[in-house]
Amino acid sequence: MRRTALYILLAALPLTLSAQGPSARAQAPRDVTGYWVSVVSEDWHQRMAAARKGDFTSLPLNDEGKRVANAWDPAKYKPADACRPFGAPAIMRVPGRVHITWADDATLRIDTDAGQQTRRLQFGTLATRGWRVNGRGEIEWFEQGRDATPPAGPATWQGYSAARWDLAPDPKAVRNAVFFAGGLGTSPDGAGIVVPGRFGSLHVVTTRLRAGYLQANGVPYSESARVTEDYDFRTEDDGTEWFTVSTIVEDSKYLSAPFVTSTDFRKEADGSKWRPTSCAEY
Amino acid sequence: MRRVLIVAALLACVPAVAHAQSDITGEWAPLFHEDQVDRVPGLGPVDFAGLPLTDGARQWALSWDASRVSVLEHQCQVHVLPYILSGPTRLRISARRDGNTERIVAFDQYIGLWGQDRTIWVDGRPHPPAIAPHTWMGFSTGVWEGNTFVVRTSHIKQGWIRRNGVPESDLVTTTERFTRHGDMLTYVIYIKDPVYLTEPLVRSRNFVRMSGLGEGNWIAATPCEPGEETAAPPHGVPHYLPGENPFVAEAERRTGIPAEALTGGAETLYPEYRLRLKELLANRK
Repeated sequence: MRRTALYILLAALPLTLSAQGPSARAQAPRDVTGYWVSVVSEDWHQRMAAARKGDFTSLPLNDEGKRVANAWDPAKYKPADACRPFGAPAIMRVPGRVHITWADDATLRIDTDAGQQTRRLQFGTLATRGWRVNGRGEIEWFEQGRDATPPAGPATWQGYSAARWDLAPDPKAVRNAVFFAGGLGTSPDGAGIVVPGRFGSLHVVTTRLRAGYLQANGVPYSESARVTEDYDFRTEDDGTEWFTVSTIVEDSKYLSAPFVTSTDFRKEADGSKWRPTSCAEY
Repeated sequence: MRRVLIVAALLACVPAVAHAQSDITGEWAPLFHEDQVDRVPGLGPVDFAGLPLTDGARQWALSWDASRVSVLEHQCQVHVLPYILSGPTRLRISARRDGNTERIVAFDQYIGLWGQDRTIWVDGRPHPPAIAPHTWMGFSTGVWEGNTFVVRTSHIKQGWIRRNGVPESDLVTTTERFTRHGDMLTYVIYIKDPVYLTEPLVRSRNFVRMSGLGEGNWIAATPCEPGEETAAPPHGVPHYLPGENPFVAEAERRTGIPAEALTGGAETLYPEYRLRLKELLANRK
């Protein structure tokens, strides 16, 4: 009985730790909500015009991945296959707009007009890690707790996404930045090189996926794929707001190495250009 | 057993310091999972899709003849900063300290394949006046936004933003961001060119940290010495007059994409252009 209680305690540890601090919404270093458009300045041919059969030049496919991609036959297309290119490993690469909102204090929601998909990023289930200022005024990296096991459920196009903020420390609290700026000893007030403000990345891990396509031309990912994303939000000097999402897809069934891309989005004033399009119509 | 579990639980609560998490110094290798054709073999002539070109830039690019790189005066022209980190190069980043104070005054970058050194000053010095000399790598200053190293660069020589003749002017400015996520370095460059771009161009790339000393992974820079390579008449500049570039039709055949899309423009960067592209392709059938 005691042992069972201990297991329960351990299983609940990450949730307990994350429940101690402010909510994920309150922790957000900036307002990330709103409408964002993907700016397609990379992989234009593959993304805008649809890659041709057998075009997987830049993907690290293993032999099985190449075999499946080469066997893809659009003539055998079935309506149930329509959303295969819109799963979490690929959706941020699809030209379109995303609408980001808080579903609740611990759930960030991303809707896409391309393919009409919904992603729910659940906070409070990953170990806490990031930069913080200790009692001596020093910045240090910390990791606390451990990742919780994703809850059981069916495999879906968007899978189960666990999220956390990887926050940078508050420069104002820093007296001795031994570890800041890469552990390189730069003083926070020295030469004015640390910009005041709240900064950090959104880290997301997605599993429990339904098998789909990394590219619309039948390049596969399997149900055991794991997607790790880091979202970096920023404001450029001209006042425009952007985020870049770095995406790592790991899939030992079809990939010989992690597949890494980074995709750029610019914030729009409103949703006037939002055009929901089903997977089949896209 | 219970004691072990309790100790394990306590250890899980103890902060672990990982000093190097945002240390961007070291040696980095590029990944080519995006824009591979553009960045490694290079796109063919007349493929400017996804670039927000001005009419002047488009005309320049259409008049460009690949033989131009064989002209003596151009043979040693290296990629300029807005393009160079897209290429197949390794990147070494190191910190430069003041010898008296031991404070960091700059980060140095060595861009291996083309033997380019650049300095990013972090000591608060201003950018030089507009009249100051321009270089391939320009003049750079850096600040930290959280764990992201933000670099602003001006004073870059005229060059190209795509290797198939798309020009970049010497009024270009860039903002780069280097953000480390574990052993991955995300690099974003935001390019503003008031002469050749109608709106800023953004590119993002990924580098992975090289382990060990990387011996054998670096190609020694070889000084470029121009020499006669072709039987072309001296002092000529290979080019195409307006409307005479034979590669327009060739590019359409090669890519299956209509020239209207291949010749770029800001509209080609946005999702709604897919509809226009479908229309163009349907009309061609």
